[in-house]
Amino acid sequence: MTADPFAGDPGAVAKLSSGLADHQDDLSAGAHGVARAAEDADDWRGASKDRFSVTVGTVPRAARRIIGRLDAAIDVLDTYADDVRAIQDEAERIRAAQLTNAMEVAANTVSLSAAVGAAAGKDATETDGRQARRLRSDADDVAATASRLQAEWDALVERRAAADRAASAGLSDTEVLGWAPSYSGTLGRMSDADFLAAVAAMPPEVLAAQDRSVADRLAGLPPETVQAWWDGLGGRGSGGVHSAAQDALITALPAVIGNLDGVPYWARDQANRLSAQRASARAQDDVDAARKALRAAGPSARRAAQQELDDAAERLAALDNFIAASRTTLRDVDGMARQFVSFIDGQPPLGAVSIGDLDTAVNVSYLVPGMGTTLEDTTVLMKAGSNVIATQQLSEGGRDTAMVTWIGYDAPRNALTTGDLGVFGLADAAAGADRLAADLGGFRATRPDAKLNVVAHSYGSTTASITLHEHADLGVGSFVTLGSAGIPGHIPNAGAIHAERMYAAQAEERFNVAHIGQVLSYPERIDPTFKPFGATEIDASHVNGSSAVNVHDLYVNPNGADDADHGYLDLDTNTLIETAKATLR
Amino acid sequence: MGETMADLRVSYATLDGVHDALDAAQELFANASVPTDAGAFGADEVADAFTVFRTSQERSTGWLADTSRTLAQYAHDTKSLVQDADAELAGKVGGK
Repeated sequence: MTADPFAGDPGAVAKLSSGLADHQDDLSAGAHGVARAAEDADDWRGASKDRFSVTVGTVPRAARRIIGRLDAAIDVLDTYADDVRAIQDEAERIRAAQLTNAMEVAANTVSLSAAVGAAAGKDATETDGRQARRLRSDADDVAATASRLQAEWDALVERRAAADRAASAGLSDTEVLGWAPSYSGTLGRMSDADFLAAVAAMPPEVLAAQDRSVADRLAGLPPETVQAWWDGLGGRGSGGVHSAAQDALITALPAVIGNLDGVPYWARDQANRLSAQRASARAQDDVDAARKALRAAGPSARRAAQQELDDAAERLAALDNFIAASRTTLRDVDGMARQFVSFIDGQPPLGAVSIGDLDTAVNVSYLVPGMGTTLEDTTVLMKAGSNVIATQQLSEGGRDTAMVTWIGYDAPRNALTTGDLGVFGLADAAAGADRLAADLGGFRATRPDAKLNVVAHSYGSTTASITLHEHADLGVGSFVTLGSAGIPGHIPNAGAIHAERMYAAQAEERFNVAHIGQVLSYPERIDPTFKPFGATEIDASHVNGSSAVNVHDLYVNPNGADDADHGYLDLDTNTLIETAKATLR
Repeated sequence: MGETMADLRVSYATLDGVHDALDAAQELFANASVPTDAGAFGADEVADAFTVFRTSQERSTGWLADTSRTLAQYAHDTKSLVQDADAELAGKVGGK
């Protein structure tokens, strides 16, 4: 395509350059604020400060690099504006000269025609002949001028094209972008090892600027490859001791690193905290916007606006409860690490949190909840899990365990409160089973030495049973079902569930919730306490003076009151004790 | 995670100050925008390159904003954690 020397507005380009300078000022002010915050934190001491310091120092440094890139871009734009202005001035001159030339050509043509006629006439004089010759010579001159001007114009078109190329190349330069634009394409063609080395070498703000292909490729790498790569970046480290490259990856790509099998769980924890906090901030913005929209809505739009607000508020509540997992009070597990094991900012948001350190615990159990569970239930489920851990700790072999509250699938909604009949089908369980298999497989790949158990409640047992039936290689020790909504009929017996041991508890529940889930299911599901199925039954009634489980829930009795309802993992229940024992075998 | 309180020493005022400074920085980063070219170049290849540059800048600036917000939240959470632990200890001492 031919360049147009007149195209563009150098004044607007200069204004754009000035806008970039304003942007620099904002970044500089922000960086100054972060540096001041770091100074203000001077009298803060402890492990939490160490973690703070590692990240806070990266922001002003990154801001300075970004400001430097803006400097380079400003230079490119200023040069381009000057070039375009000069080219446009020159274009004006040439076009004016061409116009004058064209008028001279026209005048000469008319005059020459007349002079030639006169010189050829019967009464032509010597003067007529001279005039015609002079005008012919003038015609040659104006034609030469026209050619010269056209050549100048062509050169100017090329000059403009060169200026465009220079500006385009300048704006695409590594100095401006922090990375070469061809890099993304190159990354795609690199070997896994080269790709990982290249990604680890990027500063965080550059890493964050990459398109989805980088995140997608990282997410698709085998856990063993990821683990070797991560360890090579500075050791498996800890929350306080790790490398700048690891920190860059955590802060720039938290959604990837937080769920990347092979990355140690301390790093996933940090990444998922970032992701969840960012998701919560966005959810808060959505609530504010929905509230504003509701206030502005007319009568016809009010219902939809209210629904939008309700949905936004529900999402925010779920995210905030998930975040609260880091500090919710848990009984008798003081000082134990808590880790955000996974987080997916989807619809609905999903995630998992551990009590105990998944990088080191010798015995890890996943708690898979059932119908109606969302992230809003995170802290309640953690309290149930902490009861198991506290009970495990009463035994010598239970001092180094972890319990993961796994809300990693879109559980069917509560049929009793919503009328949604999804709990009677298998679609949600099948989808959830794949996710559970991926997460358990990721854990197993990272921790081949650890004992791994699954404790599943209600529809979670339906889901987990499919996972274990279809994945014999997960190395699960004990599989415990509590108030199961039924095991799918295509799984004939406990032997077809690839766990070394299977246990099942079924209480006399108020409203027979689990039983209803089993008998109304389609395809038909089996009660795992049905003796021929082959699971070891856990007695959910009064055993040795314990309290009988009488409701379908896991945790309804925080204080262990004798006269109150009891769920499967409440204090003083045989199901809690036996679950703890089963997961220690 | 799993903060041990034994080595932690910080005042609420410090954490509040850190939170506020980072919150203000986050606002600055979040509101800092790179202007659009609005046809100023008159040349597609320059406009395309500027768009890539602008996207890159906005993502990088977004990282600054996100990280500042996360750090502000971290300071806030640390304060909450200390307050929770304090309240829990008070409860235990009080026999609750």
